[in-house]
Amino acid sequence: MILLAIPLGMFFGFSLYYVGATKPSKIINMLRLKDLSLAKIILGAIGFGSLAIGIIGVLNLFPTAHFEIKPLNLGVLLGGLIFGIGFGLVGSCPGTAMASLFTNFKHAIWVILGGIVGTLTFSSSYGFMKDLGLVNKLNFGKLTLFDISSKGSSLFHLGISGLIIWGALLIIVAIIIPKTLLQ
Amino acid sequence: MSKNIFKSIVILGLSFVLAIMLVKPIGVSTEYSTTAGIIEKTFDPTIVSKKKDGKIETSNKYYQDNPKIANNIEHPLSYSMLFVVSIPFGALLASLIFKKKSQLSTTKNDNHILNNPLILFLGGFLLLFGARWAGRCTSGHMMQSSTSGIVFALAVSFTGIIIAVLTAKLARKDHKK
Repeated sequence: MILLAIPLGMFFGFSLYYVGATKPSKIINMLRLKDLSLAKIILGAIGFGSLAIGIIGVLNLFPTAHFEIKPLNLGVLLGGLIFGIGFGLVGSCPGTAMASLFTNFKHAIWVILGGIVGTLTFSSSYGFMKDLGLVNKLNFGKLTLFDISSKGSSLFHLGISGLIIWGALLIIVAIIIPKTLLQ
Repeated sequence: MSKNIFKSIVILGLSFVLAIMLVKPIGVSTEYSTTAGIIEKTFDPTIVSKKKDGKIETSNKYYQDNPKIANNIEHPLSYSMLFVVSIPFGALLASLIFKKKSQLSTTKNDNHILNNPLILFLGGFLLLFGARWAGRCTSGHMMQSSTSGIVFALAVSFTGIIIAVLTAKLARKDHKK
């Protein structure tokens, strides 16, 4: 099973490059609302994924043990806000920085090194932050929109077929958002 | 929707689906933590160590709360690490196949901050500090309709848009000078 990591990881890197997500200027122009094509692609791909899992799941062919739901808590919100600052500054995320390691070395290496120091700083300050409640407060647990597995709670009780609705919804959003909002 | 966007959606979507179908949702940021832990361990072996009975002991609260990371620091050759290491090879392959869409063809206007190592380092720092704080980084989580994935995506867009728009304004001012 461990060797599956090579083709899956390569395919993911291949896709990131193919869709243009490894270009920092593409991500920054998306955040500047100048060129939303990448936003359409990301939303569409998540929608496509949900739809596919929903359909496969309804046919009882999806290994639901593979779901990994992360809990919703204050850390998700605060961490997301911090992540966004980095995202807006450098135009890459942890995955695309890895993906551009060979194709845009000068950019990627600094982001990756900063990232390693960032995780090191986080793991060292985690105990302190947790004591302050900055991680676990407002804990809603592993909450999903739809009850895709027996673990955790959900807002709507449609089972895994809910992912079909969710996927379709995301695809519709991906289609209707304009290619550009600001010039 | 243009043909290119449609093709991109299918290819990226397939990479998400195949990973979760065959093994688990895509995860990258955890491996930055593992790498940091491996480096940390070379300076301070007590941070994560294996006891005689095979149990893994750690003096760090974060690794205590995330035993998977502690385990991967002790045994670095994991599925997740191999997955992340394979990513740049796949991207390199794509760049060789689609040479015309070269990385170099990016727009050159007001992107000077993208070339400043200090900003890049700081950005990387914030990305991973934030990702670990939130316990994730990928869109693979939104696929499962998890509310935490949705909140994360909204939070990232919020500050991401503000910072990107602000840096555009700064760049324009610089240009006028």
